[in-house]
Amino acid sequence: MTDAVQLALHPDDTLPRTLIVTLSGELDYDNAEALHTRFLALLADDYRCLVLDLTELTFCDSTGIRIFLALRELIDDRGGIIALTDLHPRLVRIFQMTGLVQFFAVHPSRADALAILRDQPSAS
Amino acid sequence: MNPDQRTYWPISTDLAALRRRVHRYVTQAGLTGTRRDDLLLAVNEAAINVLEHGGGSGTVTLWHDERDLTVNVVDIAGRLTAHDVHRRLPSPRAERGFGLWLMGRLCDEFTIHQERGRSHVRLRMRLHPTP
Repeated sequence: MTDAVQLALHPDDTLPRTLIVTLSGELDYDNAEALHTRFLALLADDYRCLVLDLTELTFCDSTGIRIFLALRELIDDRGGIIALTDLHPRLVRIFQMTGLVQFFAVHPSRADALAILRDQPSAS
Repeated sequence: MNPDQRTYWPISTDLAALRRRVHRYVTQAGLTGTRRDDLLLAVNEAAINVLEHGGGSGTVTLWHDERDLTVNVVDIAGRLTAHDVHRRLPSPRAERGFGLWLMGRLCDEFTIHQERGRSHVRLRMRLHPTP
Protein backbone atom coordinates (compact mmCIF):
# COMPACT_ATOMS: atom_id res chain seq x y z
CA MET A 1 0.00 0.00 0.00
CA THR A 2 1.11 3.52 -0.73
CA ASP A 3 0.93 5.54 2.49
CA ALA A 4 -2.02 7.93 2.63
CA VAL A 5 -1.31 11.50 1.55
CA GLN A 6 -1.04 13.56 4.73
CA LEU A 7 -3.15 16.70 5.03
CA ALA A 8 -2.52 19.68 7.31
CA LEU A 9 -5.09 22.48 7.55
CA HIS A 10 -4.07 26.11 7.92
CA PRO A 11 -7.18 28.16 8.75
CA ASP A 12 -6.85 31.88 8.11
CA ASP A 13 -9.16 34.29 9.97
CA THR A 14 -9.19 36.73 7.08
CA LEU A 15 -10.34 34.00 4.64
CA PRO A 16 -13.17 32.15 6.40
CA ARG A 17 -14.54 30.66 3.17
CA THR A 18 -11.19 29.36 1.96
CA LEU A 19 -9.89 25.90 2.84
CA ILE A 20 -6.09 26.00 3.02
CA VAL A 21 -4.35 22.63 3.03
CA THR A 22 -0.80 21.31 2.82
CA LEU A 23 -0.45 17.92 1.12
CA SER A 24 2.53 15.67 1.75
CA GLY A 25 3.53 12.26 0.51
CA GLU A 26 2.97 10.48 -2.80
CA LEU A 27 -0.38 10.63 -4.59
CA ASP A 28 -1.09 7.62 -6.78
CA TYR A 29 -3.67 5.09 -7.97
CA ASP A 30 -3.53 3.35 -4.60
CA ASN A 31 -4.42 6.30 -2.36
CA ALA A 32 -6.09 8.84 -4.69
CA GLU A 33 -9.68 7.82 -4.04
CA ALA A 34 -9.19 8.02 -0.27
CA LEU A 35 -7.80 11.54 -0.67
CA HIS A 36 -10.76 12.53 -2.82
CA THR A 37 -13.18 11.24 -0.16
CA ARG A 38 -11.38 13.21 2.56
CA PHE A 39 -11.60 16.40 0.52
CA LEU A 40 -15.30 15.89 -0.14
CA ALA A 41 -15.81 15.67 3.63
CA LEU A 42 -13.60 18.70 4.33
CA LEU A 43 -15.32 20.79 1.66
CA ALA A 44 -18.84 19.93 2.80
CA ASP A 45 -19.15 23.23 4.65
CA ASP A 46 -19.46 26.68 3.23
CA TYR A 47 -16.07 26.80 1.56
CA ARG A 48 -15.88 28.55 -1.80
CA CYS A 49 -12.12 28.51 -2.40
CA LEU A 50 -9.37 25.96 -2.00
CA VAL A 51 -5.62 26.55 -1.62
CA LEU A 52 -3.43 23.46 -1.99
CA ASP A 53 0.19 23.82 -0.87
CA LEU A 54 2.04 21.05 -2.72
CA THR A 55 5.68 21.51 -1.63
CA GLU A 56 5.75 18.16 0.12
CA LEU A 57 3.80 16.23 -2.51
CA THR A 58 6.70 14.49 -4.21
CA PHE A 59 4.78 12.32 -6.68
CA CYS A 60 1.50 12.52 -8.58
CA ASP A 61 0.29 10.14 -11.31
CA SER A 62 -2.62 10.32 -13.77
CA THR A 63 -5.04 9.17 -11.06
CA GLY A 64 -3.89 12.04 -8.85
CA ILE A 65 -4.40 14.48 -11.70
CA ARG A 66 -8.00 13.30 -11.99
CA ILE A 67 -8.51 14.13 -8.30
CA PHE A 68 -7.20 17.68 -8.82
CA LEU A 69 -9.53 18.07 -11.82
CA ALA A 70 -12.50 16.78 -9.79
CA LEU A 71 -11.74 19.27 -7.00
CA ARG A 72 -11.47 22.04 -9.57
CA GLU A 73 -14.90 21.18 -10.95
CA LEU A 74 -16.42 21.17 -7.47
CA ILE A 75 -14.92 24.58 -6.64
CA ASP A 76 -15.94 25.93 -10.05
CA ASP A 77 -19.54 24.89 -9.37
CA ARG A 78 -19.43 26.95 -6.17
CA GLY A 79 -18.13 29.98 -8.07
CA GLY A 80 -14.82 29.85 -6.24
CA ILE A 81 -11.13 29.63 -7.02
CA ILE A 82 -8.72 26.70 -6.66
CA ALA A 83 -5.09 27.73 -6.21
CA LEU A 84 -2.04 25.47 -6.23
CA THR A 85 1.14 26.69 -4.59
CA ASP A 86 4.78 25.64 -4.16
CA LEU A 87 4.63 22.82 -6.69
CA HIS A 88 7.38 20.24 -6.44
CA PRO A 89 9.41 20.12 -9.71
CA ARG A 90 7.96 16.66 -10.50
CA LEU A 91 4.45 18.09 -10.29
CA VAL A 92 5.38 21.14 -12.34
CA ARG A 93 6.55 18.75 -15.04
CA ILE A 94 3.37 16.66 -15.18
CA PHE A 95 1.08 19.70 -14.99
CA GLN A 96 2.97 21.45 -17.77
CA MET A 97 3.27 18.33 -19.92
CA THR A 98 -0.47 17.67 -19.78
CA GLY A 99 -1.33 21.35 -20.26
CA LEU A 100 -3.37 21.20 -17.06
CA VAL A 101 -1.45 24.06 -15.52
CA GLN A 102 -3.82 26.41 -17.38
CA PHE A 103 -6.83 25.10 -15.45
CA PHE A 104 -5.53 26.16 -12.06
CA ALA A 105 -4.29 29.34 -10.47
CA VAL A 106 -0.65 28.44 -9.74
CA HIS A 107 1.33 30.57 -7.28
CA PRO A 108 4.95 30.38 -6.18
CA SER A 109 4.00 30.48 -2.50
CA ARG A 110 1.04 30.03 -0.20
CA ALA A 111 1.47 33.65 0.98
CA ASP A 112 1.11 34.88 -2.61
CA ALA A 113 -2.05 32.85 -3.13
CA LEU A 114 -3.61 34.11 0.11
CA ALA A 115 -2.74 37.73 -0.70
CA ILE A 116 -4.56 37.44 -4.02
CA LEU A 117 -7.55 35.65 -2.51
CA ARG A 118 -8.01 38.41 0.10
CA ASP A 119 -9.11 40.65 -2.78
CA GLN A 120 -11.68 38.09 -3.97
CA PRO A 121 -15.21 38.36 -2.56
CA SER A 122 -15.77 34.59 -2.91
CA ALA A 123 -12.82 33.76 -0.66
CA SER A 124 -13.51 35.84 2.41
CA MET B 1 25.67 -5.32 -12.10
CA ASN B 2 25.78 -7.70 -15.03
CA PRO B 3 24.36 -5.60 -17.91
CA ASP B 4 22.31 -8.49 -19.25
CA GLN B 5 20.80 -9.35 -15.92
CA ARG B 6 17.02 -9.13 -15.97
CA THR B 7 14.96 -8.42 -12.95
CA TYR B 8 11.21 -8.71 -12.65
CA TRP B 9 8.41 -8.15 -10.15
CA PRO B 10 4.73 -9.04 -10.09
CA ILE B 11 2.39 -6.04 -10.23
CA SER B 12 0.31 -5.32 -7.12
CA THR B 13 -1.54 -2.26 -5.87
CA ASP B 14 1.60 -1.35 -3.91
CA LEU B 15 2.80 1.05 -6.57
CA ALA B 16 5.03 2.91 -4.11
CA ALA B 17 7.06 -0.27 -3.61
CA LEU B 18 7.23 -0.80 -7.39
CA ARG B 19 8.50 2.76 -7.86
CA ARG B 20 11.17 2.23 -5.17
CA ARG B 21 12.38 -0.98 -6.84
CA VAL B 22 12.45 0.56 -10.31
CA HIS B 23 14.21 3.62 -8.88
CA ARG B 24 16.95 1.43 -7.38
CA TYR B 25 17.45 -0.55 -10.58
CA VAL B 26 17.52 2.36 -13.01
CA THR B 27 19.81 4.43 -10.77
CA GLN B 28 22.34 1.60 -10.71
CA ALA B 29 22.01 1.39 -14.49
CA GLY B 30 22.94 5.08 -14.75
CA LEU B 31 19.58 6.78 -15.34
CA THR B 32 19.16 9.83 -13.08
CA GLY B 33 17.41 13.19 -12.72
CA THR B 34 14.36 14.18 -14.73
CA ARG B 35 14.71 11.25 -17.12
CA ARG B 36 14.61 8.85 -14.19
CA ASP B 37 11.50 10.62 -12.85
CA ASP B 38 9.91 10.36 -16.30
CA LEU B 39 10.53 6.63 -16.55
CA LEU B 40 9.23 6.02 -13.00
CA LEU B 41 6.00 7.82 -13.85
CA ALA B 42 5.67 5.90 -17.14
CA VAL B 43 6.16 2.52 -15.41
CA ASN B 44 3.64 3.58 -12.76
CA GLU B 45 1.10 4.41 -15.52
CA ALA B 46 1.71 1.08 -17.27
CA ALA B 47 1.13 -0.74 -13.96
CA ILE B 48 -2.13 1.19 -13.40
CA ASN B 49 -3.31 0.00 -16.84
CA VAL B 50 -2.64 -3.58 -15.81
CA LEU B 51 -4.57 -3.12 -12.56
CA GLU B 52 -7.51 -1.33 -14.19
CA HIS B 53 -7.85 -2.87 -17.63
CA GLY B 54 -5.27 -5.64 -17.90
CA GLY B 55 -6.93 -8.32 -15.84
CA GLY B 56 -5.49 -7.09 -12.54
CA SER B 57 -2.20 -8.92 -12.61
CA GLY B 58 1.00 -8.91 -14.59
CA THR B 59 4.73 -8.38 -14.35
CA VAL B 60 7.30 -5.63 -14.76
CA THR B 61 10.64 -6.76 -16.21
CA LEU B 62 13.71 -4.53 -16.52
CA TRP B 63 16.99 -4.98 -18.32
CA HIS B 64 19.63 -2.80 -19.87
CA ASP B 65 22.67 -2.87 -22.07
CA GLU B 66 25.26 -0.17 -22.69
CA ARG B 67 22.83 1.88 -24.74
CA ASP B 68 19.26 1.39 -23.49
CA LEU B 69 17.28 0.68 -20.40
CA THR B 70 14.12 -1.27 -21.19
CA VAL B 71 11.00 -1.98 -19.14
CA ASN B 72 8.49 -4.59 -20.28
CA VAL B 73 5.07 -4.52 -18.62
CA VAL B 74 2.88 -7.55 -19.35
CA ASP B 75 -0.77 -8.05 -18.40
CA ILE B 76 -3.05 -11.08 -18.58
CA ALA B 77 -5.94 -9.52 -20.54
CA GLY B 78 -4.28 -8.48 -23.79
CA ARG B 79 -6.66 -5.61 -24.56
CA LEU B 80 -4.00 -3.06 -25.47
CA THR B 81 -2.82 -3.17 -29.07
CA ALA B 82 -0.13 -1.45 -31.12
CA HIS B 83 -2.67 1.26 -32.05
CA ASP B 84 -2.96 2.39 -28.45
CA VAL B 85 0.46 4.07 -28.53
CA HIS B 86 -1.01 6.82 -30.72
CA ARG B 87 -3.53 8.16 -28.22
CA ARG B 88 -4.15 11.90 -28.25
CA LEU B 89 -4.06 14.05 -25.15
CA PRO B 90 -7.49 13.60 -23.55
CA SER B 91 -9.62 16.57 -22.62
CA PRO B 92 -9.47 17.70 -18.98
CA ARG B 93 -12.99 16.32 -18.50
CA ALA B 94 -11.97 12.88 -19.69
CA GLU B 95 -11.99 10.20 -17.04
CA ARG B 96 -9.30 8.12 -18.72
CA GLY B 97 -6.56 8.19 -21.27
CA PHE B 98 -3.88 10.28 -19.62
CA GLY B 99 -1.74 7.26 -18.79
CA LEU B 100 -1.18 6.03 -22.35
CA TRP B 101 -0.64 9.54 -23.62
CA LEU B 102 1.89 10.22 -20.86
CA MET B 103 3.90 7.05 -21.53
CA GLY B 104 4.41 8.21 -25.11
CA ARG B 105 5.59 11.61 -23.96
CA LEU B 106 7.80 10.45 -21.10
CA CYS B 107 9.89 7.76 -22.80
CA ASP B 108 12.28 7.66 -25.75
CA GLU B 109 10.41 4.63 -27.07
CA PHE B 110 6.91 3.39 -26.30
CA THR B 111 5.60 0.33 -28.08
CA ILE B 112 2.85 -2.23 -27.49
CA HIS B 113 2.55 -5.68 -28.94
CA GLN B 114 0.31 -8.65 -28.27
CA GLU B 115 1.54 -12.15 -27.72
CA ARG B 116 -0.47 -15.19 -26.69
CA GLY B 117 -3.36 -13.18 -25.28
CA ARG B 118 -1.20 -10.75 -23.33
CA SER B 119 -0.31 -7.14 -24.03
CA HIS B 120 3.34 -6.17 -23.73
CA VAL B 121 3.99 -2.49 -23.06
CA ARG B 122 7.62 -1.67 -23.71
CA LEU B 123 9.18 1.53 -22.37
CA ARG B 124 12.73 2.39 -23.31
CA MET B 125 15.16 5.13 -22.29
CA ARG B 126 18.58 5.73 -23.79
CA LEU B 127 21.15 5.79 -21.01
CA HIS B 128 23.38 8.39 -22.67
CA PRO B 129 21.15 10.53 -24.87
CA THR B 130 22.84 12.85 -27.30
CA PRO B 131 21.61 16.38 -26.65
